[in-house]
Amino acid sequence: METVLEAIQDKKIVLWAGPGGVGKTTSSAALALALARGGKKICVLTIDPAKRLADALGTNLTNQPTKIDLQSGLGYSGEGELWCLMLDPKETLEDLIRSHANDSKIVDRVLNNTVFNQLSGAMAGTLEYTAIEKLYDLTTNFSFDIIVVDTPPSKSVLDFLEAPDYVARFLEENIFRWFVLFDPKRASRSITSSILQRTGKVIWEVLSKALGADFVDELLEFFRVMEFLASDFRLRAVSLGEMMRSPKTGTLVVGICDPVVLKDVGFLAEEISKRKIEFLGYVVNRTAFFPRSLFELETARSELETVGVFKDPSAELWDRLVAVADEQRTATETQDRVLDEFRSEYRQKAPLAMIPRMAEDIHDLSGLMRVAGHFGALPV
Amino acid sequence: MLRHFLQRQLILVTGKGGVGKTSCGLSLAYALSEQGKKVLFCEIGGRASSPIFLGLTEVKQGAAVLSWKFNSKLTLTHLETSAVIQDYFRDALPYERLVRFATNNKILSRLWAAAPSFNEFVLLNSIEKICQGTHPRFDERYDHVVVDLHASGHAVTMLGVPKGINRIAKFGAIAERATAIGKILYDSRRTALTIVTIPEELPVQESVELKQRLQDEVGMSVECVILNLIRERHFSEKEGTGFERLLGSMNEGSGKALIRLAATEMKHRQRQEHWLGRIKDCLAVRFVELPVIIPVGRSRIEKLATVMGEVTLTQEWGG
Repeated sequence: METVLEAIQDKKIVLWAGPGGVGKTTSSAALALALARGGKKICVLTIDPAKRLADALGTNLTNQPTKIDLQSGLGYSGEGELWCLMLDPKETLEDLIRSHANDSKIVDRVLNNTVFNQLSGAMAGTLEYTAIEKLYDLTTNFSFDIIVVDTPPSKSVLDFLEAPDYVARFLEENIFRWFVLFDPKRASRSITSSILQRTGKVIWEVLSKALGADFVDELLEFFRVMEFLASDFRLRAVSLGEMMRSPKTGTLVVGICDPVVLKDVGFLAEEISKRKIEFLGYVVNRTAFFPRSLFELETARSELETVGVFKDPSAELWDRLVAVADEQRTATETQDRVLDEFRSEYRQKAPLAMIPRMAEDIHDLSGLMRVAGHFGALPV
Repeated sequence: MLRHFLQRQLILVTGKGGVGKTSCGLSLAYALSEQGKKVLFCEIGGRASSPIFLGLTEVKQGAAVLSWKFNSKLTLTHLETSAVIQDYFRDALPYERLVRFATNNKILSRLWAAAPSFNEFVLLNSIEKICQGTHPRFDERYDHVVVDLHASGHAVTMLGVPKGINRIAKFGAIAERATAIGKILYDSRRTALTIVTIPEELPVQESVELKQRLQDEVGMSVECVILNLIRERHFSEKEGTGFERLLGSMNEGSGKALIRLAATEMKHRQRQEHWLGRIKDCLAVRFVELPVIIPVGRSRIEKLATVMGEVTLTQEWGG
């Protein structure tokens, strides 16, 4: 069986997918560090890192890649490089609009549009799409060996994987043109076919009844300005979709050892493959560990009595120690059972890395290094 | 703690992903139903996980699953996107043919998928109708509607949608609906918004930021924070220091392995206390602490609900 680290060696893009709150950001930074220490030029694209993680990397993160100082942080002086950036969705979206609009008036019209201003954060897939756009920028304008991507906290991780196709499909329909075509203000000039006209009338009836003329006006203005960008956007969205499905791109699915979370993890892995994006393996975070092999309660008791731990008054300390050991043993046994069930159900041979629960918060590069070591190991 | 929630009809639960929003929200709904109230627990978007996980009985309406029964007082449902879009049009359009056109027409369905905030809006629209007892599919009136919202950032976006729409449009169907939703949503006497978190670094930081963002961007205040997965402490500080000393002096073996377990446990608890202290310093709200309950499933929901019924809110006013 391969380790996770081996499975990603020939990739250019490694995406991290997984449900929220399982430690995606930290593990993706740790993986990037492990790869950089292996002598490669690595970039990690993160979406919303904790401030402490930025501190751990020893730098302020911006929307552009910043090189992390591994020399003073870890005493590392090899060939490898670690770069990091934090996505700023609004800036990326505005950059994108600027680069596609050849007329500065259009840029102003988009950026000043009320719908864009009030609701662009809620526009379906904006965050996801800008993340992939940023990724495309990194692959075309920089020369990294591997880019590690911490996917955004989506309502559904699949939104992220589908964002480019979704945008491409949407633009393919030329929805902007349709709406502008049906716009009563232009209707007399542009509608030629009577079928179109009939459909157009019903659409307008639906829109004005269901939304109100006020809102539809604003929405139309939004679509009108977006129409200018549509064809360029579509070509880009198609390239982004191809990039996601390229054999040089692969996905790791990350979770924790909880039956509900693992169900999501298994489901995700299946869905990723269905979308023709390569699935590379699993990462299970915060695993419990019970040192069975070096553990014998009776021996422990006599050893501890020898060093004088249980001289009165606290024989009950022993009971508490046993309670903690029992708790840990039960947790580890439950975990092993849950993980066995999971592996027998979903792809038994897929690489899997187990990252034990850390006793300390990670706040520097050596903390990340402690996590990094586990990607190259086989599961126990 | 239940008194705070018993006074509100609409209860919204959010927080960072993975902190146990759904379990806590469902336990709260169950605790309210145990007080004799009729309660609806709503999951939104994606897939509904808890009814299947809990193995609940389906309640069908025609061919579609409408809801699941937890007990005679508590019903679970999943407000799925295409269904709430249909709900909206049934209400806004005069006849069924137009509704079918609005939902089946290729161009229009693309528009609904692409129009900024439309999904969030129709979801809130259905929730408002359920609260009013005027929803066509949920015609009963519920004493409490508990909604398991999306994680932090998405919840802020969603809750701000009625305000955003009202800023864009003053008249027309969507503006009227947005106003009606806002009347319930932004009224702190009718709606309680609660954050679930756990005593760890990222969830605590995110909760502090989330409360601020809800206040600044949406004008909604959080009065109660649920602290989930609080573990009991087994050892005193002094014992902890003793463990560290033993680890330095003992030879490897079973005894040292046991002490190492205890010392690690101690570190986890110290870290928990650090972050509990931190959140209590940062947020001037009421806190509810919930223990770790194993195993998962129906009995966990019932046990957490019992705890909720028993604890009184700790009032903490800090900086």
